[in-house]
Amino acid sequence: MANDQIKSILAVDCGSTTTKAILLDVADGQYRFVARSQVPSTGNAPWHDITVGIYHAIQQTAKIAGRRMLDEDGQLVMPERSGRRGVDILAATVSASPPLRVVIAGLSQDVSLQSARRATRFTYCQVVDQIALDEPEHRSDVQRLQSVQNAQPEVILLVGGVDGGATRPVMNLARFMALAVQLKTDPPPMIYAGNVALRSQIASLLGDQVELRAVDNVRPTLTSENLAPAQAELEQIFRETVMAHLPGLNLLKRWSMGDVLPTAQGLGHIVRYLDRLNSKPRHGVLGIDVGGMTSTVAAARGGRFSLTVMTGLGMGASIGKLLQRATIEQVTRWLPDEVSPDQVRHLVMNKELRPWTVAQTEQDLLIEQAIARQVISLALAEARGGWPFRERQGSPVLNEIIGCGSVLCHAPTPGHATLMLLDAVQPAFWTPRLVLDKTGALPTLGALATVQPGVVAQMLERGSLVELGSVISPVGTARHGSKVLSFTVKSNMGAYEGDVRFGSLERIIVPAGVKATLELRPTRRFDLGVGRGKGVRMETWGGAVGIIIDARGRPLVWPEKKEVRQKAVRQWLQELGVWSSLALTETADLLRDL
Amino acid sequence: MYYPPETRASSLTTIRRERTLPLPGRVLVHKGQRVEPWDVVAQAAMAGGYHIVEIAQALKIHKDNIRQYLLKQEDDQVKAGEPIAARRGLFRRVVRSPVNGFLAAVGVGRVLIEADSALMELHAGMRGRVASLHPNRGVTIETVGAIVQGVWGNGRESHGVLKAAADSPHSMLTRQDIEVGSQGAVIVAGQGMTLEALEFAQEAQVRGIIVGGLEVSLLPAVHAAEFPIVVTEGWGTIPMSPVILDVLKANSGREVSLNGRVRTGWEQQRPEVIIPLVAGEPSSEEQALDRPLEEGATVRILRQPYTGATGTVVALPALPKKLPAGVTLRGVEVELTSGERVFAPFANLERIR
Repeated sequence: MANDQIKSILAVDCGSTTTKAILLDVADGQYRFVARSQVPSTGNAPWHDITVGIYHAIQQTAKIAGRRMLDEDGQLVMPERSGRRGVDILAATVSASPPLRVVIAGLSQDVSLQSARRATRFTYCQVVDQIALDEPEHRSDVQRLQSVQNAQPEVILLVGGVDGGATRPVMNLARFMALAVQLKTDPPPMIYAGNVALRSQIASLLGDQVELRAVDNVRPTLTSENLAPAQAELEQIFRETVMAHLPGLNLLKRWSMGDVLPTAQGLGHIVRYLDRLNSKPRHGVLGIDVGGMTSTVAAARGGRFSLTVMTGLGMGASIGKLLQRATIEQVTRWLPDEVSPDQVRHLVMNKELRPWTVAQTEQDLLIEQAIARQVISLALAEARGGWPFRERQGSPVLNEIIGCGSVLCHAPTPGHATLMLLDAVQPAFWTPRLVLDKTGALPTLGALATVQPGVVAQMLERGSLVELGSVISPVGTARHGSKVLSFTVKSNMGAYEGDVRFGSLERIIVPAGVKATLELRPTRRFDLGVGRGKGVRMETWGGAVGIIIDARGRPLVWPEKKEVRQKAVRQWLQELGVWSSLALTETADLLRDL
Repeated sequence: MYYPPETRASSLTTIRRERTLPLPGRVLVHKGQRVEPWDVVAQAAMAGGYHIVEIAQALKIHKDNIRQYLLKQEDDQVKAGEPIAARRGLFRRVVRSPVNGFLAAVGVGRVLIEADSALMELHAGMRGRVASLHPNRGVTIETVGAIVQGVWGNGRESHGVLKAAADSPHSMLTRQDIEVGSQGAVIVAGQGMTLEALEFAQEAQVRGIIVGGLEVSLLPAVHAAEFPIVVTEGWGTIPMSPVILDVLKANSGREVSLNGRVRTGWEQQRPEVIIPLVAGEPSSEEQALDRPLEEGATVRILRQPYTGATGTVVALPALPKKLPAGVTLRGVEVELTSGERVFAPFANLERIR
């Protein structure tokens, strides 16, 4: 179907926690968001069929939009008929299936296994066991064999050795892994991504019983890494053996004009597309999707791309695992008030049991958003090993940050989403564009891009994303309260100047679509990307939040005393207009004084 | 039109539950057979562990040549102490099996012996009739009775006589509430319990506890308890839903089956309490799940400030409403059992039926 014939698009994203149906329609020659619904997903008990949730979501969206989408037999009406009945196309993404269970085996934990682990992060994988010749726990062969058996892998990823390097240790490991897989009644396939010279020997070792998929070495030399072939193989096995068996997927496949894409890959397509549009190819585009069971980080810069899919790290049913990876203090440090550790634990553990629920009180909201900061930070820490960005003081230098996922797109104000992204990403220097996937359709648009790139380009250029604003993050350190820089901002709304102190956030309100000229004069301790103490003049666009000068240090420097820290958090929240309690208390005090 | 998640708290219904082995085995009952909770309905042999025997090293031979020295082949049964490989001649040597089992694989220079398996037994877990058989895996058992679903459990399973210690949803179970003669009882608590109560319950050999909320500080003791604990509302001190408490109190003195197994994430399983009733009483089929929320439905609110509050849907406003958290969402007006009328977003509702 040609672009100009497509008047309506239904984007369906079937996640582990919720299923979304988003209707996009042409108005005044442009694609616009019309209606959206979100319902609990039904891939799990008691339904065990994702189509139940998909029908619920479509029915709800149809009701909100006042459009009939399903016929009497429950079939989607496609293409759109007269009287706005049905839709022209449906695009779908899925992240409701469990991850692929992978055992990784390599010579050393710090070299080959690191590469193997990074390869598994490209898609929905769960590393259920790892075997290394230099294991610190010194397990016996029997213990390791038992461990591989208990892990019940769906695939083995065997790596090790550089091309042209020593072969004996790799062969010893291969013999052990061959024994481990041959013991299973239905042996899982093995991907071999080690020293290429050993492919035929490993094939004869495995015999006909085990399917061997040999790909290029993930570590051709000690200093280089080549993950793409192993990643592609894992992705294919995931789609063939796990995702394909998701009950109800066939209905989505029948309805969607393209392939049903894993949600993370959808985000990856969008980030790569935006990187190609990037006017500053020196810097990169970072996409973050915080899901219920999985968080995804897509990173692209000048054509180089990395995707990090963190299964078991999300804001839904996997939220409980956060308590194993982070301390309660790492969560409560983001809160403006004292909250007991047990209160945080109760919230996390209840959310794990009922992941689809939303915060009703301000305190619950702030706790959930504090957790989200930690979830994003952990995902970024994993992504950092392979992303293509330049960094300064451990902070990435970026052109664009895109936020996706319920906790961000359902935040009450753009300020909430902005602060969560800023606190977790902590970008360095000037990040010209911070955007939010408010409709939740972005990964699904990525799936649509594979068949209708023109439609998606139009959606991205005109209104699918909410422009939050731009951020300037000076790199350097000083005493809290010391001057970091002076600024002058000029736009058609007038001129404004001021100083920014260390430890603070400064928000300059410049609405979306308004261009502003910004002059920044840092003190000699601070760098804006052109050298310490050197000023810059830049033209930037406003947004729903505006221009933010983040003078909290890179990495963010926390006040030591708890009371001072809580006061600082209050000020950051207030500066972005996302916290009212203090203002209300102060107003009440003032009224009492009067 | 919203389809909320559901919790069962039904006083009389037909209940069917699948009981299956985690690995293939043998089904021991036949269709239509009546079973008690303690009856074994299926069994399977569990792998007994592996033993690697270094043949080449022991016989001082090249590791590629071990097959010609083996006395047993793959899949052959072996007994502990039985010779499995031997070198004859001047330098005669014998290698013996360390365990009873079978020769699972022959590798380079070594063999792998899988030890004899242990028997795993699957119990019926509830009183009822075998409705259908799943060859090599298990059965579906059917019964007529009451059912209450929980949200969390400590993974244990048992059965006993239901004993309502809680007068109201807000009761806190203390040591004094557990009588000395509580051996074999499944105790119904209200909004929570103390550590002393839990410890005394262990001493008194109770068969289970059903409680509204659970403080996270009790988690180690709850995991250590030898009997099932089923939580109906969630973590924290949360009053038990009056609807659930009513069902449990009405069945006080009856035999119950408690399944405290819980799974979250990719696979989900909720703990539950099943109370089979005497034959001949009327029953209704478990209702279809696919029903939109409507006025008159009994719902439970899942988040603060109304966590655990139960009530009836009295209105479904067309327009969304702004919550104290600042989010604007669609939802329903609920008249709580306390008489208070509150707004709750769809996402924070669970239908109880």
